[in-house]
Amino acid sequence: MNRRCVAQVVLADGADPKDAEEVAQALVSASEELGAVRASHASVHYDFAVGGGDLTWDLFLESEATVGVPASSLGAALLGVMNGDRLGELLPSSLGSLANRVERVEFAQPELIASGTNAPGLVGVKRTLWMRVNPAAPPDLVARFEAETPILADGIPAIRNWRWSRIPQRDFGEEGEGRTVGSNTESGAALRWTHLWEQEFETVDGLQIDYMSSPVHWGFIDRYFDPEMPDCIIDPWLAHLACPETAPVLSWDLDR
Amino acid sequence: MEGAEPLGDTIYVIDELEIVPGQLDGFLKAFERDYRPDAESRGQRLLQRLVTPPIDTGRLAELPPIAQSVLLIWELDGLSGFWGMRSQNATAEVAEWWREAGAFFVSRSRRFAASPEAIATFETIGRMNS
Repeated sequence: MNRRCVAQVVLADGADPKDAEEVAQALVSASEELGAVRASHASVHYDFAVGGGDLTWDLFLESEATVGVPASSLGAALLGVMNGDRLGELLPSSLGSLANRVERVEFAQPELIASGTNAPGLVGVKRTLWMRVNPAAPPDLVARFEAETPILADGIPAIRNWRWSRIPQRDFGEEGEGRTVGSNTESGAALRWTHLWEQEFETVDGLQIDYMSSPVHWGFIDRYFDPEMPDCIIDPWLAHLACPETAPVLSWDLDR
Repeated sequence: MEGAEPLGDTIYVIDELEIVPGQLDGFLKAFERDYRPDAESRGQRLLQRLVTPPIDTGRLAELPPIAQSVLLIWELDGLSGFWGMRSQNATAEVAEWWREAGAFFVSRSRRFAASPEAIATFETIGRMNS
């Protein structure tokens, strides 16, 4: 079982910043009640985040054998997610007192392609880019994209820690259509994302200046994202999410 | 972005399109009418519009047909110009242009380039927090 989960938490309409902070606290508390969660981190996105939810929730899970008995409905729902019952969705009805403040939670269990840890223990800024490769993209081009993306980390030293992953589609059930994907409906949620590019920076400037200015980014890798480039294979609807960290996340010791 | 201070040196956009034999005039007319004005409004300034080989193929009766290419060289105002362009080109209109223009060309490429002297400048801008 893949032991990392990454989630976007989408707040309900009308939720305010105070709600967002409370939701972050509640998610961490709920996951702590499960003996199987080794680490949990939830944080509200910066204002410049676009295309996705309001919080990023990272979980590092123990093996299923050690799962405890959850006391809350959220804990029970999380347990279901961990066991693969309804992977990819966590409906508001599971969220107990948070139900009226959360619209949906989109889970991914990333399948690692490559990673780097240059700053163990860093507590900085986590950026998570959720993306979708066009299903019609030629497999050889997808393979090249997967092989070349880590060059960003090599060329941008401000990226201290990073993880580059596929999001297995089996996690998310049948795929829906357009922007209704992932919405909270009776038929359940399905996610649209195929890849996850996570990075940690020491400061926001590392992301907004170094990352955006690097010629490795705009002059090389961006061709997979630029809709005018023949090599473009990424759907323009990205979730570019970043949040301040209160604990290390990407340097969690996943091999321990 | 118009009026923004250029960040870094000029970035060049190099388009190369291998034109379907006999479609050069049609492509150039469609390009001038349906693409260039909007591209320039996104900050792309056309520096060169070249044809190779520079032959009037309509005057040739011999087979096989000669494949010609169009080379378009644009400039952008540094990084601010690049991201200004990128913030505006993910539209249905741009996608439709490239889809419909596909009837005029066999293949195409687009590359971004800078002068050799500018490489160090771009590397410096991209490493402020190293």
